Amino acid sequence: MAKTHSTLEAQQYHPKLEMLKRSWYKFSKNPMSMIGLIIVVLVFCVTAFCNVIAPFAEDAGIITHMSEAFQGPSLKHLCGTDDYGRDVFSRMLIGFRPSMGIAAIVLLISVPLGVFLGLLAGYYQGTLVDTVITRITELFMSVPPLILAMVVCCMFTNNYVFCALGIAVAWWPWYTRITYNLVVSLTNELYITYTELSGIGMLRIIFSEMLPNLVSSIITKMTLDTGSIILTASSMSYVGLGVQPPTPSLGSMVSDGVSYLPEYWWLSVMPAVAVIVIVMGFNLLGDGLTDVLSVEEK
Amino acid sequence: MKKSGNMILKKILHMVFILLLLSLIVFSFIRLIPGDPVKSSLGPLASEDTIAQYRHQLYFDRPLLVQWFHWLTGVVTRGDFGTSLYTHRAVSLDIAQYLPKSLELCALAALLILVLGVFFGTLAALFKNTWVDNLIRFITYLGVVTPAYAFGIVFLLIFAYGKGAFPIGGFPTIPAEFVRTGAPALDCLLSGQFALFVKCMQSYFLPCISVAIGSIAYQARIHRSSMVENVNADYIAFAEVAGVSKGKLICKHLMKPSFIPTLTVYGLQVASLLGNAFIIENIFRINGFSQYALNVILNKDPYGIIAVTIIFGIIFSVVNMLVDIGVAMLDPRIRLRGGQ
Repeated sequence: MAKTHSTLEAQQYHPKLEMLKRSWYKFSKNPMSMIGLIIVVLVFCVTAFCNVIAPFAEDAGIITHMSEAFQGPSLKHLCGTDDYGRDVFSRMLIGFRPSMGIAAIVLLISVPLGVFLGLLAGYYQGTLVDTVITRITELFMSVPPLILAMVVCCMFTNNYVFCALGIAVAWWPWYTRITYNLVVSLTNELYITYTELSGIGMLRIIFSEMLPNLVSSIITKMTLDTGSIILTASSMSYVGLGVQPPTPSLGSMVSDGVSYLPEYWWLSVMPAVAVIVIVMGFNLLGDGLTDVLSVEEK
Repeated sequence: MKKSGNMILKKILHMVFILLLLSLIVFSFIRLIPGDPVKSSLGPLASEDTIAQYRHQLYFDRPLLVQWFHWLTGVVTRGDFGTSLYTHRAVSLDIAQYLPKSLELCALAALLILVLGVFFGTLAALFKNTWVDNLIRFITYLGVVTPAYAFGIVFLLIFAYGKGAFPIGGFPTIPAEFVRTGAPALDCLLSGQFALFVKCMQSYFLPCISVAIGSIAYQARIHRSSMVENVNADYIAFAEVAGVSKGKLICKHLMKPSFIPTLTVYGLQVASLLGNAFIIENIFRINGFSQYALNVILNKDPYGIIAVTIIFGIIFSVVNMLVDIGVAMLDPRIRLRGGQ
C-alpha cells in the first residue's frame, strides 16, 4: 500500500492539477473566452495602476486648462479633452477605480451573505428557517434592483460606499436563490445521505461537503455579475448617485457629455465605450467559465 | 380548472402579503434617514411649533406601527398615499399625473421585448450555425453588454439631427378635452384621434427601443438556447417520424415548451426595464414617473419614497405573478400540482 503511494508521488500525478490543466486547455481553445480574460486582466491592471498609466493623472481633480478645452482626439489627448480642458482618457482610466471598487464591495457583501443564507435555507428545507429566509429573499426581490439600490443610496449619504451598499442590498437575494436551488438538488445525492447517516454534524456537511460543490457555479455567477454591477453602478452615476464630482466615474462622464452632443461627441462616447468593453470582458470570461465548468461537471 | 383557480388565488394572497411586508420595511427604513425630513421640508426659518404641528399632522411623532397603519388605511380606503414633503401635494395626485405616461412607455417596451425577443430567438434557432444565427448572436451580445443610456445617446445622435420621422424630446400636446387617462397614446385611441395617435407612437418609438433593446437581446439569447435544446428532444423526433408537418411542428410542439424558460426570465427583464426607464426618461426629457421618482428619492421625501417603491413593487409583482401563471399554463407538471 505504502509502495503504491510512493510510486504515485514519484510520478507527480495530482488529479486536481490535471483537471485544472484540462479546463485551462478547453478554455484557451475558445478565442472569445481568451479575449474576455485579456480584457479583464487589463481592467485589473488599469484599476491597480491608473495613477501611473494615466498620462495626465492630475486631471482627475479640480483643475482647469481652459485654453485646451474641447480638443478632439489626438495623439496627445487620445480621447480628447472636456469642457475644462481635462484629458478624457486619463479621467476614464481613473474612473475604472470606483467602478471596480463598487463591484468589489457589492460582491464582498452579497456573496458571503447570500450563499450563507442559501445554504442554511437549503439545509433546513421545509422548516420554519427555510420559510423565513425564502420570504425575506422574495421581499428584497419584489422591487426592481436599480430602484432599491437608488433608494438605499439616497436615504443615507450619496457617496460611492453607500451606492455599493445599496446595490448589495438589492443583489444578495440572487445568491441566496442560486445557492438554495443548488443545495436542494444536492440533498438528494447519495453521498450527502451517507454523510448524514455516519453522524457528521450539520455544519460540517454544509461547509465541507456541500459548499465545495457550489464553488464553480458561484464563481461563474460572480464573474458575470461583476459586469452587471458595473453597468448598474454606471447607470446610477449617470443620474448623479454614487461617486461625487470632481472624482471621475464612467457613468457621470457620459451624462456630463450629453449636453455637448453632437459637436463634442468624444465626451460621452468614449466613456460609454469603456463601460461596454469592461462589461463585455467580464461577460466573455463568465461565458467561457460556464462552458468549461459545465462540461467538466458532465 | 378549480386547481388553477386555487393557484391564482394563492399567488394573489402571497403577493399582497409580500407587498404589505415591503411597505412596513420601507417605513422603518424611512425612520432611519439621518436628519429630519419634516424640518428640512419646512425650511430653516420654521418655528419649533410649526414643525411639531406638521410632524403631528403627518403622523411622524407616533409609533412606527401606528403611522404605518394610518398610511395603510388611507391607501386602501381612499387611495391616499400621504402628502409629499417636496411638492407639498398629495402623493396620489402626483402619481396620477406622472404614472400613466410612464406605464404606457413601459407596457409598449415590455410588449416589444416579448415579441422581438422571441422573434429573433426563433430566427436564430431555426437557422442555427448559419450567418443569420451568427449575426443575431453578435448583435445580441452587444445588446446585453451595452448600458441603456449608451443606446439612448446613439439614437439621439442618429435621429436628433436627421429631422427624421421619429421626434425626440416630449410628446405632441393632447388637447385637454381628449385627456381621460393621462396616457397620451391611449387617450388618442379612446377619443378616436388617429392622426394624433400615430404622432404619439412616433414619439414613443425611440425611448421604447432604447429602454427595451438590452432586454430584447437577452430574451433572444434565452429563447434561442431553449429552442435549440428542445429541437434535440425525443418528442420532437417522434413527432417528425409521426409525420407532423413542419409548420405545426415548429409552432405547436417546439414553441410551447421553449416558452417556459423565456417567460421565466421575462419577469427579470421587466425589472431591468423599469430601472432603465429612469435613465431613458432623463435622456429623452420625458417628464414621467421615473423622473418624479428620481426627484422624490433625491429629496428624501418620505411618503413619496414609500409610494414609489410600493408602486414599482406592485408593477413588478403583478408581472411576476402573470409570468408564473403563464408558465403554469404552459407546463402541465406545474399546473397539475397546483402551483407548488
